Amino acid sequence: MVQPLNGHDKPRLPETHYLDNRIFTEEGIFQEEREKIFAKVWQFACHESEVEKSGDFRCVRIASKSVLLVRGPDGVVRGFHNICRHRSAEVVREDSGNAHVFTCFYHHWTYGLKGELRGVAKPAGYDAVKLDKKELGLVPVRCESIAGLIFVCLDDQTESLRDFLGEIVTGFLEPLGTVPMEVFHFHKAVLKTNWKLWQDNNSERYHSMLHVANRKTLPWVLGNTSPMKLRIEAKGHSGYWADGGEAVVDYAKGGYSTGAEGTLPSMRPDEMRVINLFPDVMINIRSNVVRLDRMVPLGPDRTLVEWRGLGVKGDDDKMRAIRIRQHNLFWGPTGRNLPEDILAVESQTRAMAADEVRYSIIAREEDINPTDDANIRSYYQEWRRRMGKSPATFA
Amino acid sequence: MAAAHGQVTGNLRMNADIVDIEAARELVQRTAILLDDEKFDDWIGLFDSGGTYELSAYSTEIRRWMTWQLSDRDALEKMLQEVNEHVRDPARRRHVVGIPLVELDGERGKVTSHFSLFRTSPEGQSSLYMVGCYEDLIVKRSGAWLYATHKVIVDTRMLDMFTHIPV
Repeated sequence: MVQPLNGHDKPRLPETHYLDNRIFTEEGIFQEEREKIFAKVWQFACHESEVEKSGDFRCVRIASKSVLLVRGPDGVVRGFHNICRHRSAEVVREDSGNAHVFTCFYHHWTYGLKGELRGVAKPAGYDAVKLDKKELGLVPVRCESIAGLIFVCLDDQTESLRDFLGEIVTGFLEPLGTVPMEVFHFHKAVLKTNWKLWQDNNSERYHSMLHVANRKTLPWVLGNTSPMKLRIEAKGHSGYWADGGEAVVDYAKGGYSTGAEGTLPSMRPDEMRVINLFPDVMINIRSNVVRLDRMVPLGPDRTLVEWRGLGVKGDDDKMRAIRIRQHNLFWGPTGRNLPEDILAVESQTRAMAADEVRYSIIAREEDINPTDDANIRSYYQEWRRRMGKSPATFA
Repeated sequence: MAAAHGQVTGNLRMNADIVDIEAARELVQRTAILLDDEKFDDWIGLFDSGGTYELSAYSTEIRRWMTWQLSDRDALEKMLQEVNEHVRDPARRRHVVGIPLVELDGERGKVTSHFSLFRTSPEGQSSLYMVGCYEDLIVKRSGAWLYATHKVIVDTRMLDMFTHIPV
């Protein structure tokens, strides 16, 4: 007679098919992730439209560090550590804006848009030591972009952005990178959950049954087969879409407004595409509108999530209203899906903290249909490679 | 005599204005109470046939105004019909609405009201959920004031919980 497993017994599954929940709850693991993952990978910072003109800047947090992104007079977007060379105060204290120069509020050292130190207050005081301003610009941070998405990387040894992303770019290069896009929507929240659980939520389609709207409009996700197939790429990146764009959402069946107008390049009317970049970026496309999720992990059980909505720059009012409506219907703060997803991942975090059930199961094998867990397994193999330990056994 | 008649007419006019101002204020208070009590059909009944509900906010990050929701009556009905199909925030909500500023122009008017919205969890813990203001355009139909536009402008952009219910 088979005995039920104790809450701390390992599932009788291959080690790749389950996770130790303590990877989601322990402070030590979180600190290691900051050092071994977030300080090493390319991380999405903002969209190019957020720093459109010379002097436009954005301040973002990457691995607990403040990073300044600014478009220079030469049109190049550069990244810098947002720290004054003088006494290490933050030079910029706003989330965004436009500047001709950046003057540190503390002692008024002033930097140009290319990060160069332009001037210091009361300069004669440094004559005796022959202070060389040319040596003391803002410390640069690697900054590259693809399809309008600006990424930064804190590690000089990491490969180029294009090499880091590999073939997963085929999912979003055309829809996001062919016509100029802009951010029309931004909201954020601190979720009471671990950052990986939010990534998992967008990676696995098995939870489509959670959503009223998805149950009504995505029957092919819950069916035995689906035109939408998993795309599992190197380095933990994944996505799902249909080669011919056949994975279309039946909005009318659910009684919702269609997303057929103004489709983005290479997208079919009402087509849906999902791309998940390791470790914490999500690109969701509903034919005519894009949702981007960016995470700032704050602790093992706290994650700041930023949501952006993107449409085509230059839309007339009617077209923009259509994109906004389609975006908000599912992904806005009052959208159909987002409130439910958040309830789910916060519930996981509350339950995992009790450590009564120690393991999560990621064992579905369904011929790479969207409800297969193969992409999550691939993601955690990349986590294992970078962390140097198994997410199932810590070995 | 003419002066007295003018006084009476003026008083009647003033009384009529006060009645309308009070009716407009009551509309705003009723709106909040109906939402808090989740009487959604009655809430939708406060909108004119072409009325819209809008939720908007200003983002300091992207430096632009955003529309988080814009719905006509049909879209609101569809949304609210599905509320109980959703997995949803179990907290109960309570609006506290300040005294509305009412500016009437015949059968139309503008009403501005500040509000705060609190959540109370099933365990009884209360927290401030949202602060903002209503900037409403109202119309008088068959003696009743209704929303032509019920616009919510929220100051709070970091929300503890997202919602399937209008604010």
